[in-house]
Amino acid sequence: MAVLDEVKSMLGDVLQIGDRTDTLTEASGLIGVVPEFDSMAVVSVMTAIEEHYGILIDDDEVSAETFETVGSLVSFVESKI
Amino acid sequence: MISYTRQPYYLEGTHGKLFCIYFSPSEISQHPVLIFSPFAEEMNKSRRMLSQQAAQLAEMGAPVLMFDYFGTGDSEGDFADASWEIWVSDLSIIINWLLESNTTTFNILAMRMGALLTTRISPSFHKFINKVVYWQPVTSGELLMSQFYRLKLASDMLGKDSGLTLKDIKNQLQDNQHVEIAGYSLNPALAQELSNTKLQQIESSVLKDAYWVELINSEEKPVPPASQRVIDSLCEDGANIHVKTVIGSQFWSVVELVDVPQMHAITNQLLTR
Repeated sequence: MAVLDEVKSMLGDVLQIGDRTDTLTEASGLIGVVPEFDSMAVVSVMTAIEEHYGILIDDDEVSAETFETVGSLVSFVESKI
Repeated sequence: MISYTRQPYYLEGTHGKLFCIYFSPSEISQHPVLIFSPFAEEMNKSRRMLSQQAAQLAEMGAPVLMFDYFGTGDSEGDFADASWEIWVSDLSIIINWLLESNTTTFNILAMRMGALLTTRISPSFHKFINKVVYWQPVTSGELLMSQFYRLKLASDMLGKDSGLTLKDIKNQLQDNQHVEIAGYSLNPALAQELSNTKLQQIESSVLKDAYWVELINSEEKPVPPASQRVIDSLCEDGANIHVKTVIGSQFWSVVELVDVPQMHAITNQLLTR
């Protein structure tokens, strides 16, 4: 549960979507659904995750599926920490 | 509040004209400030914050000079032709101009990659440097480049997903080919030179009175350990660095434009008397 909230907060911060952050659930789509979710956003989210958890993400271990939904991103983070 | 004018002009650089904006206050009561901008997309995203900062300093009586590196912004040349060596040699021309117009010492405000460029200020200018303020300085050019390459990997992933890897990009650069990233054609020489630059290479005579402003998400998260290590090591070498933290969004990387007024407040305090 904690990871979900942390990931949501990072997404809200990077995408600057304000109150829409609160409406995000694990099922919320990211790529192709949130218009702000472009390549710059992907990089910023990855960097934010690295800095927040003090981990290094290898670029080859993420794919479009990782960023498909909030839930898929949360599972990825959980697998890393 | 002091009135000021924005004076755009071109300065003849080593490889082409450099676009400069001089914020000229009607009464000068502070040291002039030279702004060192960030890299590529970060530069675009932070232009607004830097320009607001320049305006606020000018209103307090500090002349401010902002300029575009060769091959960026409104300066001459293509980004594809830009190299670190050109940017470094243009720097002396810019500083000379500033010293000719203002006979005093000057302050520096350097953001992100701009901080790396301060490592290459010619030693003959060190005695003219008063204060240095860093905004979230990049400590390793290699890390900055990795983040930049990642932009290409991400856009590939979101688009055609050709399975491009970091290794492919590095190989292409090693073969002396330009790589197209987020609309920027990256010169392999620039990538190489930037990757070899570290903030720790700076001479302590530049950082006699320096301020490291780090933007953080929350109170509980202080300066990242990686930055702290660099600060400690620079201080051991004789630099005098004070760390300041500001809570806010990383305006150079977020999707929408955001303002961080606290960043201005602290910078105004540091760069005026």
